[in-house]
Amino acid sequence: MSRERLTTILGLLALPLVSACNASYPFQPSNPVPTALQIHYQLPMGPALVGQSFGFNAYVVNSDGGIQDVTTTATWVSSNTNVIRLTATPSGFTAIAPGLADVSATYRGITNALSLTVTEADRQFPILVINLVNPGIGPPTAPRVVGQTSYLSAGMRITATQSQNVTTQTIWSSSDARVVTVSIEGQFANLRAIGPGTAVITATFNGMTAMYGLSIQP
Amino acid sequence: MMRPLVILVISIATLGIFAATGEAQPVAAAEPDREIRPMSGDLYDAREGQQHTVFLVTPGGIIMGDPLNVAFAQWLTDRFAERFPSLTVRYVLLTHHHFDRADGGGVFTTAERVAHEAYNGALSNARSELPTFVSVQDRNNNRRFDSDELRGPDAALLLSRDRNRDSTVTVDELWRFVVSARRTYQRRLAITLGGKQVELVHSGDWHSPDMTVLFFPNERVLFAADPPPLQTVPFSFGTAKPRQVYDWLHAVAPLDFDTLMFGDGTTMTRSDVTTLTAYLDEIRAEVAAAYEHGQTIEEIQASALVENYAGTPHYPGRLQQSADVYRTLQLRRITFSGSGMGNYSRVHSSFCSSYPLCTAGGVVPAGAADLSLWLGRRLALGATVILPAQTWSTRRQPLHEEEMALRQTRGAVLLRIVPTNVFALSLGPSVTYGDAEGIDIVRGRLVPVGGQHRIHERAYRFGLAFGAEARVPLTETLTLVAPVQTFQVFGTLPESWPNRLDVVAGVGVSVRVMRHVN
Repeated sequence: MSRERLTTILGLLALPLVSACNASYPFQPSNPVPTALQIHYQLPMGPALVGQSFGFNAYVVNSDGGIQDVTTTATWVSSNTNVIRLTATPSGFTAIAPGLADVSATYRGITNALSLTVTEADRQFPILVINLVNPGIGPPTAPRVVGQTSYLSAGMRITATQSQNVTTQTIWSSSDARVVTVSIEGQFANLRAIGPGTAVITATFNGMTAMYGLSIQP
Repeated sequence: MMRPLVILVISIATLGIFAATGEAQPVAAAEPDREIRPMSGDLYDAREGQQHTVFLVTPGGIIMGDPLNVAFAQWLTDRFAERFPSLTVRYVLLTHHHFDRADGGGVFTTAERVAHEAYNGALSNARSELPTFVSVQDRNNNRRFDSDELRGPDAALLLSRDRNRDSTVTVDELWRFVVSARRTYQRRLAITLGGKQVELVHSGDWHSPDMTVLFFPNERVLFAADPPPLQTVPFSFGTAKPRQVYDWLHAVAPLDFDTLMFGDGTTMTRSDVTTLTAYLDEIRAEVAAAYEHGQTIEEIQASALVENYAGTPHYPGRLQQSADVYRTLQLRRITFSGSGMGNYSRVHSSFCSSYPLCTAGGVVPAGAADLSLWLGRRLALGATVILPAQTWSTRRQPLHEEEMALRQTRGAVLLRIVPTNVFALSLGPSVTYGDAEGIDIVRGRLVPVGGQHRIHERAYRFGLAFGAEARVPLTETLTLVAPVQTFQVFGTLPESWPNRLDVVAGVGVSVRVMRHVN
């Protein structure tokens, strides 16, 4: 067999090999579009006290399921600057006076808001207070990421120095069970981080309520 | 085979003869039997005893064949000076390196020595050991032929090289005056001098790896020293390998000569050569075809072998001739196969673990191409490529989705064993190349971990291929094939590969693109 003939055969053999090696997938990733905006507490918090400063983060949930931090590019506004005022860019606020105010963030036309209550530090008793506790050793930490757990307790403060543990008698609820669930576990209320987002835990005891806001990071 | 040289006269003159006691004794010198006679035109036959060589006289000088030995070369030099005083020897064309032909090449000091490219290497090797192509043996392994060993047909030839006349012949004495070639060639070389031409043609490795025949086109003469046993009637391969005889004949038969003269002075006509070549070609073709179809030598010999040659001189020897050809037959074929295949991939358990929804694998169309070199009729070495259509896979978790197309191209080098003409088994190392394209979506995680991502993974893995093939011959060159091939991948499976085991099966045709019989 001549060399030319052999070369031709090998070439014909290699041609489909080269052309057929690559997979063909008909779709390419599309540009994600923001579909929802989440406002996250930078630190868990109960009712804001006058003079207290706190911060927030903003995340958009894109159409492809990915989450993007837009804290610095979102527009932050307080609905009542007499109560809560933007005091540090991009998202640092300070409680000015008792009252209600919404802190909102807007990103590419999508807005979301958190309602906050500002109270005086010096309040009338009795009041219901939610405390973050650690049944074990060490300081308590709030759940930050999916899968983490921590514990809360509810105390009814009768005076500035007296308090009564009413955890197991308290009705506990989460504003968004996709984010955090809460349930009585022994002497404590167990918090379990389920998914990214912001939720407010509400404790109700004997006609009194207390709230504890927290965010789970994406 | 070395021609027995009965240069008794030379031996007596230069060396001596064995006495009854076995001792070498010096005797009186005698005139060597030498002769120059014209052959055709300006081509001459020069003879010493029964050894012949040739030379061509041209206006530009003399082209000499083998010098035979120093004394003969000197004698020729004297004759040239007498007959052609104005001409010098310009070329010495050496048929091969053996001392009985090439000795004395250095005598022609004005000539360029020309030989085949294997000449110098063969000569270099020969200088280190006693020759094995002569009938005399070094029985005591003392690296010389002693006087009591110098018996038989080639004894006189060897004694003619006893330079110091001590009745023993050493390696050095044999090869001392065999000089190397200055110019070499590979297949053919034409030398033109004084308007005349000589062509050196390599005639294969019969007798010596550097064999050359000298073709004189103008004189229509071909000179060949130490040829295969062509003049035996009916022809017999004897100790020659059939391949060597075929190579020799196919090198010589196409040359346009009238007379073929051998180194012992005997001749053949071109018609004899071509007739013998055609006859032996037919023997080999029929034996090869029968061998290819699985026949034994007994079945071949019982068939109507070369019946077209019945009544010709070589026909009575066909049984032995066919047996010799069959015994040494080398059949080489190259086949190219193309098949339409179905490709079944079985999903590996790890691919779907932790995914509530997972689909992959299944049967997809594929193609196969195979190029095989057949070594005989029972063994083949093949290169197979499987070009499958791509498979799709989908995997879903609550926060993760993935959809992907994967094309795996598989190649294997296969040793194919063919126990019968209709069935083959194959085994060999394989390599699988995978190209995956797709998209995955991760929900609830920060970009860039979250969101959608393009999947593009290219990887290859080595493995093992095992297969079987049903074969149905349709014509001499076309075979229907139904291959089944299994590929097993070794090593860590790439993330995008759903399977470790792949099976392809289908139907196609195999075409013989080359067939060579030797």
